[in-house]
Amino acid sequence: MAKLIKNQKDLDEFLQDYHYMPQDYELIDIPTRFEFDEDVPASSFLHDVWTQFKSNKGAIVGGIIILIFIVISFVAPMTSHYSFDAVDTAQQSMAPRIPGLTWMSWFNGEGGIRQYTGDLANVYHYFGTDVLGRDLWVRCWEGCRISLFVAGTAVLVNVFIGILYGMISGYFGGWVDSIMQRFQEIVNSIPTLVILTLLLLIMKPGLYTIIVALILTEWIGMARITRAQVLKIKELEFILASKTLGASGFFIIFKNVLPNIFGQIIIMAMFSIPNAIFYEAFLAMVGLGIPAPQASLGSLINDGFKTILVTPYQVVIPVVILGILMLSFNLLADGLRDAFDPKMKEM
Amino acid sequence: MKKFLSLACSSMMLISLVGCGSGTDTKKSDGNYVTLAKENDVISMDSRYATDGMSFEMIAATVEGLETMDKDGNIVPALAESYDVSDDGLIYTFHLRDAEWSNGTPVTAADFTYAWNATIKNPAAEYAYLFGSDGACIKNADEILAGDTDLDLAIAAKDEKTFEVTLAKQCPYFVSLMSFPVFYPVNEAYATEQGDQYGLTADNLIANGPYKLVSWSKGNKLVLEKNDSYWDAENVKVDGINVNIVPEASTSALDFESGNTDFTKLNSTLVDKYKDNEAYTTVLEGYLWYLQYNYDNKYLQNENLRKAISTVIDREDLVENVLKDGSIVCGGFVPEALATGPDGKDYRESAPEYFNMLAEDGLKAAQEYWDKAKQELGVNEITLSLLYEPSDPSKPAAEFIQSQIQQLDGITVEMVSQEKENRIEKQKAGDFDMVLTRWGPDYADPTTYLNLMLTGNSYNYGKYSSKEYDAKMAEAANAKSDEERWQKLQEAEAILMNDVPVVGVFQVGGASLINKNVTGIENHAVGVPYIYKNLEKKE
Amino acid sequence: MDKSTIKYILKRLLIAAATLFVIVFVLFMILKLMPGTPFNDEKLTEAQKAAIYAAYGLDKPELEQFYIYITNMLKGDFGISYAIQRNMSVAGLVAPRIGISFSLGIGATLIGTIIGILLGIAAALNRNTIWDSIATIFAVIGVSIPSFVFCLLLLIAFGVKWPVLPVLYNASDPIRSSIIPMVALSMGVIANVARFTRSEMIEVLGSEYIQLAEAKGISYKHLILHHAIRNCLIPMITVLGPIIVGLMTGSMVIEKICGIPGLGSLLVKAIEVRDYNVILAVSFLYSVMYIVVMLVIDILYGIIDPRIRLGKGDRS
Repeated sequence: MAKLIKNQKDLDEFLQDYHYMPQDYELIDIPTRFEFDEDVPASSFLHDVWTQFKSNKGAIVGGIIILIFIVISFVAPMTSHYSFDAVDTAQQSMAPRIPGLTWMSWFNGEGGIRQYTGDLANVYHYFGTDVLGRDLWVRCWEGCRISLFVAGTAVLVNVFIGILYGMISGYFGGWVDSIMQRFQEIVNSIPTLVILTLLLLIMKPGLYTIIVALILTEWIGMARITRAQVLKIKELEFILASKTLGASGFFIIFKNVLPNIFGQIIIMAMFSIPNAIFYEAFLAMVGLGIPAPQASLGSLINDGFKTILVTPYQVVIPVVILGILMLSFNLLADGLRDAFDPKMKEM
Repeated sequence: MKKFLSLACSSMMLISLVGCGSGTDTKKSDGNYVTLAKENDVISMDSRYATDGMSFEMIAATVEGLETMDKDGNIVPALAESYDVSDDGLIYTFHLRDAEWSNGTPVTAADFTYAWNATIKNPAAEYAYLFGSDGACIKNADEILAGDTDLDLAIAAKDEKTFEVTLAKQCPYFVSLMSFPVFYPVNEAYATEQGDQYGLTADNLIANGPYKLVSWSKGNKLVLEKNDSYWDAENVKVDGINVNIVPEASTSALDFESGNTDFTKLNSTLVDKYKDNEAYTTVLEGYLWYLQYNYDNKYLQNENLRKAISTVIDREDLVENVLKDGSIVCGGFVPEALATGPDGKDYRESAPEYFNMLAEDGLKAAQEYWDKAKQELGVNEITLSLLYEPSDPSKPAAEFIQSQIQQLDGITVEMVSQEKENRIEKQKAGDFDMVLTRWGPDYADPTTYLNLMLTGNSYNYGKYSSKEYDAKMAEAANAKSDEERWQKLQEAEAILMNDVPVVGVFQVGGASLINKNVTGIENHAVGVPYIYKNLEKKE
Repeated sequence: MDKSTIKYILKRLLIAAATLFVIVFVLFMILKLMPGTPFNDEKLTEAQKAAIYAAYGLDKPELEQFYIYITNMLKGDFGISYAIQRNMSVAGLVAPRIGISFSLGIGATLIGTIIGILLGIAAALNRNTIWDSIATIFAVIGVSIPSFVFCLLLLIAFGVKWPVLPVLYNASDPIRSSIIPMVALSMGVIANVARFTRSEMIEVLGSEYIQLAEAKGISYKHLILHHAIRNCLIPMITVLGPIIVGLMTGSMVIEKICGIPGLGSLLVKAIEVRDYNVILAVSFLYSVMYIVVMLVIDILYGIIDPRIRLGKGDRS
């Protein structure tokens, strides 16, 4: 093998039939502790992300649970013969009763205000009924669907407005930062309830209004965290390198900064979900959320809370649903975080 | 870094200790004290400004007026030992008993003239209108309220103990109004000395009633102590009252269970838990919740549609199964326990009941009205909005009413939930189809409700106008005798219930827990909600 | 602190004062847009309303009202309350509540931060083990169970079933009666701090300087205590700052449930009844705290982490 490499073509030819073999090197001291890198084929970023994500069992479980909940929240109300708004005072505050599970004390239907006797002996309310006698199984899943929508919107709002705002403010610094921070302080100083009261004057309750309300008030926390994260890394060497190579501000923000702060941000975005869900319930209370008799998890919890001393299941069930959802979102977020983090490749 | 952290931590500890240390001036309350839990704090201890029930209660506990109410709601003498009425019914002369303020000065007729004049000439005193023809009809009051500053109210302190009031026209319920806090006395010397601090804290107040306020920790607690200089002090059986401000009914119920609280109101969701408890009682409050229809809505101008909606609501089901807190059905527009007629009977007892059909009959009748309405309007489907406020008991009641109305095929009810201030603004602007709203009586007479529906009345938000009704109300006002007046008022209500611009839904009840050792918590539907003079607590 | 830092702080303070002025102006004007009045609406005719407004100077042009308000404010007079406690000075109404809310908020933050950091570190060090899962589940429960539900459960447990603590807040026994609300409030803080710490800690543990320190042979204990924890606490300031401000200005629901006379319930009540001066004063207090905390955070950043430079035209 004495061929001289003079140009690219020669190099290519040489590399074509050259492979590093374990025997190329020989360690004198402790041969057993030596490992070789595998020959890894190049793969796209998204492919990397997917591979990494797939390997995280928790994330997969979280994702599947969320999917199941989404499916149930559509299917359950459709298949049940109860409707979410059928008021029947003869069936008010009945305890949960599930066929086949009546041997369990939680689901045997005892302990409510109205009992499963007489005409109602063959009635089954899986999650019981509320104070107006509306079936909570249907209401919980209807509510779950609305709350998932709110959660999704909140995350999107956080991502598009909060993160962008925080990144621009943090990265450009100087007077841009100064102005943006002052604006944020001013917006933050107006009590949310005041903003919502004014919003009431011009908007009708419903999903659009929820989105507008979220856009008006829910991005500030995210913007703050993002800005802090950006401040932390923007003076690091790789950013400087990118600058030296002539990258524009927005290129650096999206290609260099964003992937590196994504982990922390996604965790915080997930934690903003319960806030958003309770925020929606608050909106419903002031008259901006989903109009009654429709429900959301947040408003079910708020309503159920009033009866906590009498019929605790009315608050426990939606809280448990919310808890499971949150756990799944967090598992999913952990997986996403690891998958997106360029520093976390453990191959 | 370490230094910084330890500094930060220690300064935080310091702040929190300082925070904990402050505001600990609440007096110890040993002895025979009764502890009440109340939802709201007092807004004003100054009888000239007070407009809310809680303020009335605490003012009435510490200051007495000319008259007060006994436990059955009868007007009984308080500071006025007796009174005379002139033959034409226009001049009332009150003879005051010997009583003292807690600072030692005697209560005189001048205290009344000062308080009344100060109230009516102060535009910021909202209840000043009660001096005028919407209330006590005192001579010159309407002119002063309209801005005439030269006139004086026709009241006079004849001597220290004689107080004379001249009315512009006869007012059958004048004496009962005297138990209302806006007519209470204020000691001029003391009030002037305190200036704008008068009534703002426990230290800026004097009492002439059964108790005196000794501590007022804002938003948290009031402590009342027996007032030894009260003229009837021997009949005050407890050493004092602790009033805890607890906005959440669940918490005060828990505190009741733990044995610390002697009296708390319950909300309807808690009733199921306590209804078999021996401490459980219900009382009737004055507020009437009613449905008002807007005549600007082209469908609601139809009488049969209004009747269909008014009839279809199963009020019995609502109060028995949804509200459960002792609220009662009220299909008319004058609530129960408001006013007693010349026959000695409650107004509602002698007046007919309206819209009291039970579930199936009501639905059937409503269906007939609705069919007629559909024909007349030429539509099969309509959507109406229902404005309500998201608090108890309005929220569950509104949701129930919605489901009831929607039993009629073709009517969709759109729910518009607006917190109270906005609800009122929307009502004023006429921006509603139907509204679930309430009215609390200002004085013990049906006109406090019936006047609302006169043409052009500012609370007639639905723009109802009926010549027949207006004429009937005028007849009542000019009636020769009490019996005739009563008759006319009932006829007027009948006209109203035939036109149904408004329809009563329920009268609010108060479910509460009262320690079985405590007696004498007296509730009233009109005026001061609770009077505590006769409290007793067995040790 | 060098000269440029002091200059920077002074500049920021000036800007903060200007911002506060703008905030008061914006709030003042926005409140005038709110429907309703601070007075007894249900029974108020238009003529009466006009008379009352005139009596309190609320009928003047908005700009004039604002001028009067701001000049009085600079003298320390925040006006009077109209609806919460008629004619009481707002300062007298708000001041006693500040101590209560501050001590509650700081207590909850302290409990929450300490437990949260410990949980977060434990989870990060035992990553992907059962301990990590337990910490995660605990944190998720912390954000999912609303604080008011948790608070009431605590009241039932420790106030009624096993009566060791008072059910109601009592101004004359603030320490004992603050324990339950403090713990209930700290749940959310624990959750947020734990998750944030875990995630920061994982990042720090994976960073080059920790690997270098490890390679140099520093003991594990020393490494975690002196290098890793310190570095993951820095970004914690950003999360904690707003949390402290939020908690110190009070939580409406917890205050309502425990009957605590704090700032949160005062603000909500003031908005509900349109008590303009009270809304302004509490919002102003909140804004001052927020701006000061944000300023402190920005400055601390510069001091703790010299790589971060703010406000010095640093687009080099």
